[in-house]
Parts: sequence; C-alpha cells; structure tokens
Amino acid sequence: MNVLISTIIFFISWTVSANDSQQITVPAPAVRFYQDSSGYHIATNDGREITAYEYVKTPKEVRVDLTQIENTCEPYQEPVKCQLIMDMAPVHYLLVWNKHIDPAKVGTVVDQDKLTEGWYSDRLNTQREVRFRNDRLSCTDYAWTSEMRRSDNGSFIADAWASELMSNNKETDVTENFTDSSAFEVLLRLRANELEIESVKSDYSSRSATFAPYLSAQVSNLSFLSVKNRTCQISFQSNITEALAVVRSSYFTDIDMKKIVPVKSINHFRYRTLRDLFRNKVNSLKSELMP
Amino acid sequence: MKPLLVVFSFLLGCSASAQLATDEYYFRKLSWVFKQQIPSPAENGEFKEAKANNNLEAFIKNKIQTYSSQNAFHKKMKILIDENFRLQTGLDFLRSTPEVYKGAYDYLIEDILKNNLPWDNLLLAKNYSYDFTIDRMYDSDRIFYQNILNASYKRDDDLIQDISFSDVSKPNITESVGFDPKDPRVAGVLTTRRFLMRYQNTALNKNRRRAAAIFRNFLCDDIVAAIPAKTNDSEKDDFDILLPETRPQSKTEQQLRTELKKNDPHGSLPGCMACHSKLDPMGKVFGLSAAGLSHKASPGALVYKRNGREINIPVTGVAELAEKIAQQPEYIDCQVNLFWKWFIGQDVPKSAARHQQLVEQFEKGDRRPIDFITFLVQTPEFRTRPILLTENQILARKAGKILKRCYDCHKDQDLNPQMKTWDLSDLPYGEDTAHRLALIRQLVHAVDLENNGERSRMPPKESVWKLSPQEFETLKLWIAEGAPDYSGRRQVE
Repeated sequence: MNVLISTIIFFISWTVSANDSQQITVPAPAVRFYQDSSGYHIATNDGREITAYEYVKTPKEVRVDLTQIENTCEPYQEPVKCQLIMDMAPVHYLLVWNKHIDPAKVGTVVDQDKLTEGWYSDRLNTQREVRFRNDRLSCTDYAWTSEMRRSDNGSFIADAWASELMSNNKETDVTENFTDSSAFEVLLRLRANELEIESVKSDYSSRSATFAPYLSAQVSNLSFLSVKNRTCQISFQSNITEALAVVRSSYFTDIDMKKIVPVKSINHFRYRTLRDLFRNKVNSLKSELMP
Repeated sequence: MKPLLVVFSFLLGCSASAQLATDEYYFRKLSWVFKQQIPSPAENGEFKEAKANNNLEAFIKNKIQTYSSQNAFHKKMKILIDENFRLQTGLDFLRSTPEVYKGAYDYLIEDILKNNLPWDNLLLAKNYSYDFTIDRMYDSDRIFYQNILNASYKRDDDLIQDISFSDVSKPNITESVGFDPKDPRVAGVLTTRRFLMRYQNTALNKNRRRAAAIFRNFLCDDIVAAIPAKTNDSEKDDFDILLPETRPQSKTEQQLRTELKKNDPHGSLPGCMACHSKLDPMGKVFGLSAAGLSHKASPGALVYKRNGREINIPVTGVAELAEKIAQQPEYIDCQVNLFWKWFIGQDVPKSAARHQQLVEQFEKGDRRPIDFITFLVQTPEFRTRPILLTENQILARKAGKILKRCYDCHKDQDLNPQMKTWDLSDLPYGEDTAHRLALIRQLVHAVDLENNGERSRMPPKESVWKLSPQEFETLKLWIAEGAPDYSGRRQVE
C-alpha cells in the first residue's frame, strides 16, 4: 500500500512539475545562418562566426566497365563494351571558426564531412578552382548511336540515362532492384573516339544521390527516342569495383589547410552533406547558448 | 479500418438469394456504408419522424447527400482506391502529420471525391497538389515535377530556409503545379510519384509492370506474371531474343522460333506472348521516364483483344494512352463493375441488361463518382437484405476464384488454335450435361487433380502461380460435390 501511495504522490508531483516546466518561455537563442558573396556562415550573438570551406583533392581518373546486355532497337547488333571515364576526387567540407572570443580558435576546424565528387555533381559550379573534365564514354564501337537523334550542334541525344539500385520499395516494403536515378536529355558529343557528355538538362533521384545518375553498381540504362520515332533502350551491366578502389585509396589523406577555399555553391548532390553539417552545428550552438 | 471493410464486403457478398430489406435496415446499412457507424439516436429519431410524416424518400436522399460529402466517407473511398492500386492504405490524407506524407496521388483522389469530379480524372488530370517540407525534400513531389517544369531548379534557397528555421516545427506547405491540358507527358495518377514508385521499373522489366497495373486497374484485365526460373546465363538470352522488333535477314522466322524456344521458354510460350503483345506497347509510353518524368513523351500503343479481334491504337505518349483508355467500352464496364463490387457486392449477379442500365447511368452523371454511388445505394440490389450462402454456393465461389486465374492467362491465347479459351470461372458450363462433364474432366486432367499436380500440364511449369495444397483441396471438394454453380446447383451427378 505504501508503495502504491508513494507512486501516486510521485506521479502527481511529476505531473505538476511537468506542467510547470511547460509554462517556462525560453527565448530563442540568437544563432543565424546566412549566405553572402563570401560564402555560407553561422553567426552567434556573442560574436562568434563559422564559415564553410572546402578542400578539393586532385581528381583521379576512374574507369567503369560497361558491358552491353541489350539493345532493343538492334537486338542482333554485336554487343559493345564501353568504359565510363570520370574524374573523381574526395571533397572535404569544413566548418572553420572565422571569428571567436578566443583568438586561438580562429582558423581551427569545428566540424567536417566529405564526399566524392566529379564532373557531374560539379557541373553547375562555376566558382570552384579545381575543375573536373567532362565524363565520357569510350566504346569498342559506336554503331549503337546510329538511330539517335542529334541536337542542333550535332551531339547525340540520350533522352534518359538511368541507373538501377537494389533498394526498399516504400509502397510494398519489398527490397528489389529498380531504376532509382535518371539524367534527362544528356547530350553526347563524339570527340577523339570518345563520347563526351556535353551537358545534362535535368536529373531526378528518389533518394539523396551523391553520384552521377548514370553511374550504377548494377545496370545502367540509356533510352532515347530514335530518328524512326521509336523508343530504344540500351542496357549495360556495369562494374564499379575498380572505380571504388581508386576513390577509396585517395580518401584518407591529410587536408592542406592552406588550400581550403570558401564554399560558394550548393547543388543537390552535396546538399544533404552540407545541410546536416550546418544544421547540427546551428543546433549545438543554440543548445550552448540556451540560458 | 481493414477489418471493417472486410466485414462490410462479406455482408454485401452474402446476397445470392435475398429479400427486400425493411426501411430501418436500409437506413442502418446506408449509415454503415457511408460512415462505418450505425445511425446515432438523434438520426434514428429523425428517421422515425420522417417515416411517420410519410417523408422517408426525401429524408433518405438528404442523408445520402450528407453522408457522401463527409470526410469519413471520402477516407473510406480513398482506402478502397488505394487497395485497388495496391498502394499502402491508411495514409490519412485528411490529417497530414510529419510521419504521413501527402503527395500528388493523394490530393488527386481527394479532389475527385470532395468535388465529385469525373472519375476519368484519375487518368486525365493535369493539375497536382502536394505537401512540401524541407525535411522531407527527397520524398517530395516538388522535385519530381520540377524536373520537367524547370530543369535549372536549384536548392540554395531551400538550404537557407532549412537551416535558418531548423528549430521551428514547420507545417507542411501545400503546393500546386499545373500542366497544359494538351501536355502529352502527364496523365493523372499514372504520372504521380506514388504510382511510379509502386510499380518500379528495371531495364529488364521495360515498364511492363506499370502496363500490367494499368490493364488491371482501368480495363479489369488481370495479367498474371509467368516468369520461368532462370540462371544468370539465361537472363542475357531473354534480353536478346524476347520479342525483338527487328531480326536479321539471314535468319528465317522458323529459325528464330527455334532459337526462341531453346533459349527463352518464357518468350516462346503462347501464354507469355499473349500478355507481352499487350504489355510491351503500353510499357513504351514510360520508355523515357526512367526514375522520374521525362521531358519528352514516348510513343506506344494500347493493344488488347475485344471478342477475339485485336484493338491496336497507337498513341504519342502517356497522356494520349490515358485518353484512349477512357474512351474504351472495356474501361467503362470495368469502372462500373468496380463500383458495383464496392457498393453492391462482387458476387451479386447482374444481368447484361442491368449492366447496360448501370453503364448508361454512369455516363448520364458524367462519370462522377458521388453521383453514381448515390444511384447505386438506391438500387433494389443495395436495398436487398443478404441471406447467408449455402455450403455449395460458398464452395462454388471459392472454386471460381481459383479458376478465374486460369482464365486471366488463357483469355488472350486464341492465337493457338489448340488452346481453349473458355472461362472456367463462368459457371455453370452450359446446359448440356455431357458437355459440362467433358470440360470438368479436361480440367481435372490438366491440373492433375488426383495427384495434386505432380504430372500437371496447367498451370505451366514456367508460371509463377502454382496451385497451393489448399487450392487442390478446394477443387477436389468442389468436384466431389458435383461442381456446383454459383446458385449451389450441382452441374454433374
């Protein structure tokens, strides 16, 4: 009985104190996230400021073997072998103290994260010093392009170039292979016996993608409306084992702080990384400043 | 919610032979069907008063109008529609929470129900609304539609907003997007993220899954997957040989057929070919869509059989496909049957003449769902009190359900003259006892009923669908009971 009474008293006092605490109004801590011509910053009301920097390593050439498994418009054409050639580099994103009450902290790293980037994820960034060469396809034969439509300047038009991924179908809760990311209206220009990816109109991914939509660990699938007004599909089995090894080998190295530069552009490939980095820091600073 | 619907469906399904219900019963049924609740005491009072004043008809009409405009009914309808599309049900579109995302598909259906818009909007709508929160950006339809609206869409502004207000609990913002009425790339639910995600595509599948969903939902044409077990080596053969559009001049058709049979049992089977001749042209309208929507429409065709005659309608893209589907009599029949199943009961028989009346009524109301439902719940079939089925009537329905799966495959196979295309679920099998006996014997032999399918011809080895032990038992019992028809009458002694 005593235990029961104690429990009731505890519950009542806990409820009262919980209700009391709900009535306390906590002033919002002054932490501001803003962007200006010098980049992205987090500023606090006690005079501290963090700025986002990036450190881009020297790109490495990565080759992904693509083996044709189907050409719906020319099913009896000799299957081609191609290589998708991409410049890739690990990019470190750093939050650095720009202003601080303790002068020793200025210039030190607050937090960091990294991504592997390439031409595709960087193609809209005109402000970065390190440039990646355009991705390109090198094939044993280009007869498969014969039915492709051409742009005004003669480039081949791949209307969609997609990649497959084994993932969970949210509607059925079944893990299955499916087309997950696509690049649309990809212009391919034949230069020096390689098809250079000249431009991409748009892309879509059902998740937060960090790689080019046509880069797949399984099947990469190029579709186009042909000159004969039929939809053709060319599918490639892709092998990214070697590419991953190259990327990983250059991932764990020191950052040269003299070569870091402010982040000037956030495209959707690096959006999730930077968003999480910024948000976590904004929230932790707010907690720190909480009275 | 699901158990309620099951009970409701069961009650509706019990009316093989029935009697006209009392007014009180009818009112309770209406309340249950629309609100999933019996009438409140106040409503019962109103009912009694209306009856006493000889004003019952007006009272009932008024109640139907009220009930059908209420959220509870729209929510129930949404669940039925979701189930029909085989999408996750229970997404509460009337009360969005951070855990429940409300997308273009959900809003489109809500719009049709709330505003009693033509049912064809499921296929033809060009305007979408969706919830957007920064936190759920990658689940959002904004990016899905922005892809074809504005290719240079950047997310910097979202980031500023996202981080700046990260401590604020942000409600969903409802956004809208509209496409030109003639845009060939957009077509109602077919170009919503939920539909495309539910029916995912692969290079191998070539949007056949999406096509099959369209055939099933809009033309009531169930297409059963029949994919042979295969090794990795044989998969490549499928790619190369399955229904090629062109073939090398050096090979005769006979040589190709031999190769096809050797390398690809799936592609060479008449049953498979029958389905692929429909699925492949339709799948092509999604041919450039890949994961999202494409900037260009992709041509395809609506191909199917009507009374053995091939219907082949080329289309410029998904929008024209949707338009053509909505014009087909099979579509109207299918949608009328869908409402019949939902509100009267799948196994409540209706004559061809009655079906035609319903089609005319559906058309008369501009195919508006609430108008048609209002009509259906005032029909004698709805007002009839169900009577429990007999054992044999239940058995016939169980057997019919199994046999319907045979027909789903066989109905398009009249290319093969040796293949009978009769619908085994269409009971009884004619008037002639000898003919019935012959057909039943043929069935017993084909599925090797005696040995639980050990040496069966049907379903073919390549079929994904196999008769389960329980299904064998059901068919055995059905035969033992004289293969009763839906009225419970034995077909053979």
